[in-house]
Amino acid sequence: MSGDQKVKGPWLIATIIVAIIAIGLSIWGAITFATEKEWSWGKATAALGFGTWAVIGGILWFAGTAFFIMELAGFTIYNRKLVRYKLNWDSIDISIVALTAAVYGGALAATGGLTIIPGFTWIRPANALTPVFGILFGIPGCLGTAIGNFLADAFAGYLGWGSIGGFIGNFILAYIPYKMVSDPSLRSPKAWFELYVSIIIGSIWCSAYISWWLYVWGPQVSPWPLVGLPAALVWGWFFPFVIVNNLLVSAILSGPITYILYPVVKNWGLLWTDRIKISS
Amino acid sequence: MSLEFGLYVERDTFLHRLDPRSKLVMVIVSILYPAFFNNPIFTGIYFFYLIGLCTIGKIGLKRFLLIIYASAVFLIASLILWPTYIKEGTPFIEIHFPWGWIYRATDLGFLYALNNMFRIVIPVVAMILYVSVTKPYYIVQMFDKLGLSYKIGMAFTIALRYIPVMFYETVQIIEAQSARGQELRRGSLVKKIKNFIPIFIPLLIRMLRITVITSMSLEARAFGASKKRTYIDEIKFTKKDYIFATIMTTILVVAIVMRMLGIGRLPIPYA
Repeated sequence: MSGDQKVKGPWLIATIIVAIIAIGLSIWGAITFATEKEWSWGKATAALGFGTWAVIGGILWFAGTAFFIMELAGFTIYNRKLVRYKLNWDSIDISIVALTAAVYGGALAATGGLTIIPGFTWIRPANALTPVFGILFGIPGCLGTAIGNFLADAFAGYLGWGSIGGFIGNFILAYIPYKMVSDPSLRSPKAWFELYVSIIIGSIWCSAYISWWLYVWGPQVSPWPLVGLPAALVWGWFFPFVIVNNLLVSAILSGPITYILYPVVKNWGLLWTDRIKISS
Repeated sequence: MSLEFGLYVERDTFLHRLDPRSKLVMVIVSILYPAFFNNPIFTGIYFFYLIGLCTIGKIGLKRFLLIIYASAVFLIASLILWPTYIKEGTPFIEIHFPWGWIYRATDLGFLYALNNMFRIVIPVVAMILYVSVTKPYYIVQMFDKLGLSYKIGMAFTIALRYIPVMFYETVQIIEAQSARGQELRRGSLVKKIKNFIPIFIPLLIRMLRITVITSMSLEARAFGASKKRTYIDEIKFTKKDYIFATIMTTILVVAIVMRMLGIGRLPIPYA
């Protein structure tokens, strides 16, 4: 057995385990949501208490916002160090931002809801595009995802104060895979392992980010509420539902789509690794 | 909302002629205003004021239907949720459903639910109005004039332009794949999701082509060549913009003063 195969073996097993966890968890969440009268996931998250979620969500919110500002200011974490990076924001980057936003927004509207149980519950297949955009296009792809979600809200007639949380929340959904997947080609088991782990983390982080935003601006917390949702709905329904929604489609679709598209993106010179310069 | 022509509605009205910055004041005021009241009379008055502006802006029947739809969805959700939290007040409604569920609401619970519907819908209506009466070209300029990056404004505007295109591309691909025998909504949950791979791959390839073409078009027009960007049709903050922005700001100041005086508050524990 060659050294390469020796290295690949454990990663392959780890990838299979984490893929089963990601897909299994999301299917379990979707089925229980569709069939249970009182959703057990919602009850479990609500049982932890709003105080716990306020702290956890708050930490993730501040960290997520810090990452967002840091990246747009031209800094990134590379090899566990904070370094400056240079992205020209030329016509190609602007086109990537615009077109990823357009595809995400357009596909969200066109694919609508994929029904799990007719007339009751649905998922958004286009959510699977967020990790793809992050892994292949880097920061322009993440920003495009954020703008796309914002515009999709505008087209659907739901653009409100909550959409600001959704803007950065969707940025994070693409950003985590972008930072965690070391090989965008997905030609190694290690890259697939990183992909599934990043999808799990990204889905939870994105959901916690938006939920915390809705929670703190809700009438039960803020003396000047800008969102009219009760805390129990936010943490006991919205939070686990968004996790399931993101995880389900991303765990199944994002990997194959990234794998297939990588050569095209690379050949056309649009891959983020060819466009960004990291300076120490 | 109709995806056919994007969000902007071409008309010649007072609101269309206003500077995008003064209309932005309207959006900001609309986001902040509901925070100061929990009585639906006060939020309702502002809601109908915005509806009046929508009528002046001639945003079209489809947009009005969208507003009615969004309002109805949020009203139903709000009426179901909030009365379970608000026990103050006197019993107002009690409905017995055939499946055993009993809906009860006190007068204060009902009013608070109505208020929270307005709280969600007011910013939505303001945003719909803003994008319906503001040319995307002017939004780019607004980013620039406010000292923000015009490049982000440009990306935003191109995205706005291409969302309808990508929507129809997706629909066409779905139809083409269905014509080849692919059944999108058949099979188990995992199979249903996997069915989207042959939809997303051609869509993304198309997106990559448009990305390259768009970037070449931008390059050909010397995009980014000069730091100072110029415009053929430049926006101007005129007297009527000052008047409109002053009216909107006054509404917000009055709301703040009323909140300080305790006006527009229901006697319930939530703000």
